[in-house]
Amino acid sequence: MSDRTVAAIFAVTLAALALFPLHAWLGFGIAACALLVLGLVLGFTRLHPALLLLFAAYVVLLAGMVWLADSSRLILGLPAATALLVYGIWPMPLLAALLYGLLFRSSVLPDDKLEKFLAEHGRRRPAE
Amino acid sequence: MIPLFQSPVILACVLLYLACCFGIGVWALRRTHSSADFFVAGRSLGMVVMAIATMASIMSGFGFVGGPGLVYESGMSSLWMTFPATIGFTLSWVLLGKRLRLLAECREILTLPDAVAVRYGGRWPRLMMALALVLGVVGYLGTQVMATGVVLVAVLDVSLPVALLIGLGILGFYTVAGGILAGVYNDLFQGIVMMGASVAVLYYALQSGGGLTHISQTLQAMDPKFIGPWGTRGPLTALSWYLIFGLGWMGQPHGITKFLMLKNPRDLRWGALLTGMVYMICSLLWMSIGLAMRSLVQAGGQKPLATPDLAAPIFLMHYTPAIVAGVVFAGLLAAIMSTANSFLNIGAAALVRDIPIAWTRRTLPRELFWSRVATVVLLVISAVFALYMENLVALLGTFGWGTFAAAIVPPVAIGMNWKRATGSACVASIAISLILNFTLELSARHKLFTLPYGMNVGAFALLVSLVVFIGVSWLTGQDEERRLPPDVKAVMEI
Repeated sequence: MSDRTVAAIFAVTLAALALFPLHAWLGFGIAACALLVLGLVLGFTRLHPALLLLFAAYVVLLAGMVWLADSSRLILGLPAATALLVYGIWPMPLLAALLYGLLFRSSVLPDDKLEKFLAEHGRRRPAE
Repeated sequence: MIPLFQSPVILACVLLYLACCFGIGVWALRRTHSSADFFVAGRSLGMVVMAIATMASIMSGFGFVGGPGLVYESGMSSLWMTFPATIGFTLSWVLLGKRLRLLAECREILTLPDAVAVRYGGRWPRLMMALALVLGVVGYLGTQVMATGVVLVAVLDVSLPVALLIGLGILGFYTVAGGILAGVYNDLFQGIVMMGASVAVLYYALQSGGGLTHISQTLQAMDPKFIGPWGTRGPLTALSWYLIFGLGWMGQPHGITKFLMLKNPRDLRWGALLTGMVYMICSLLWMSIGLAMRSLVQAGGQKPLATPDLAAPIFLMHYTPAIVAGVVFAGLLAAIMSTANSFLNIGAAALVRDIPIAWTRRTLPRELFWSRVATVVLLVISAVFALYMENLVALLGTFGWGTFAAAIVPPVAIGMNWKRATGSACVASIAISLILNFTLELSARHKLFTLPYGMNVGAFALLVSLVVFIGVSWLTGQDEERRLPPDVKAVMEI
């Protein structure tokens, strides 16, 4: 999976480089967001459905912020788009961090795999 | 403005706080017996210490002085530097936490160039990584020196060069007195105080500005863009900051080397969540002071600031009780010193350990003496750099951040998770990132060339560096997986 994910990172990076000189900021923003998401995909060994749900919610909030950018209506003391940014987009990645913690013992670093790794390789040799 | 020495409460807070930091330094000094103690705190940190210390070392003078200043200057644009931290912390734990910590379980890894040398083999990846660290440290340490100067100018009413001299003296003393252990436990102490101070400052900022709704309405009347989601710098600048501060967290050596200091790999579990939460709390100071000060100036209750970086010092002096101002000032100075301590440690290690090992395959004789010499040299160069650049603290910090991000993210964050990545790609991507960062920054400084539409130099260099890293790896990495040592391969597969 890492080869395909890295290929996707390569393609999205090229797209971001091509879009910014055209001042295509929306395309550049989508590419930037995609790079962050692909980074998470590269790190998680399997894609949990909750992670996909989070990605979808994140995209919806970002799209909502762009759509409401010119609205002057205040929500919880801030203009609508800024409120989405402060109260939604900012804290949302913490849910991915929560998911990382919840999945830690089952799929990130299971105890049996760690014990096996330490038994086979856990002797500190010199770096070079 | 009331100079600090004319406010006994503030002065007492600062002195008490610095005494605590000094005490921690002395305590840590007695516990530092080996190079592992000096560079990675003896791999003794628990999850809470590591998470809060990581947040405190990242926030530092960049966030507490530069952040409010940039909000005052360009509104919500600046928040695209702090919002991505939540995703940045998560990414670094997911991509790097397990890999770096387990690599340190099977090899003697004390520095980031050690990890790169193990992953790629050969002397050039280690040498280039050490070079990137030294150059990035100069830029980022310049931010800390400048932030110290800005605060001391505000509270002592002295000129900037005199303030820098005082700041350098404090930094030099602190670094000689304590190793990284002192830095980490000071970070913990400061992090806790910073969280309390941030919540208190949020309360006083909202109160002085007449509430969030009133602040927003005042700023909307001045310029709707200022309080809009992109701020006055526009969407492309905001989004390039989002990219460089989201992905770039994985390239900050003062953050990711803390993975090497964890006592137990299982302690990685809740670190990303805790670090993200405490960083969010501290970002309240970043956001609230800048908005409140601009609103007060707009409403006529406050004279316009001579420079945006004075937003935090002037707000604290005039709009918070002396005890709150004292604690925040003291915490700010100590946070700057502690972050600088981390950078000096990383820079000195690169100069006296990593570069000599890469060049001669052995460490320098009298390593401790040369570490102290390297520390002083780095401090002086950083001060000269900060004075030469003359930028806002936050923009100076962005340059340092961008230099690290573009040089370190591809070979470390991608390279630790992709077996096809090669040493040649590592060297090429670091070289191109350094060339781009420094030439574009200097050409912008001399008004020769700037990237269009406010694109951040670091973000551009990071994108190019990623393309070079992946492209060169594809061209040269056919046999790379077979070349990997079994323990490194196991780290990448677990």
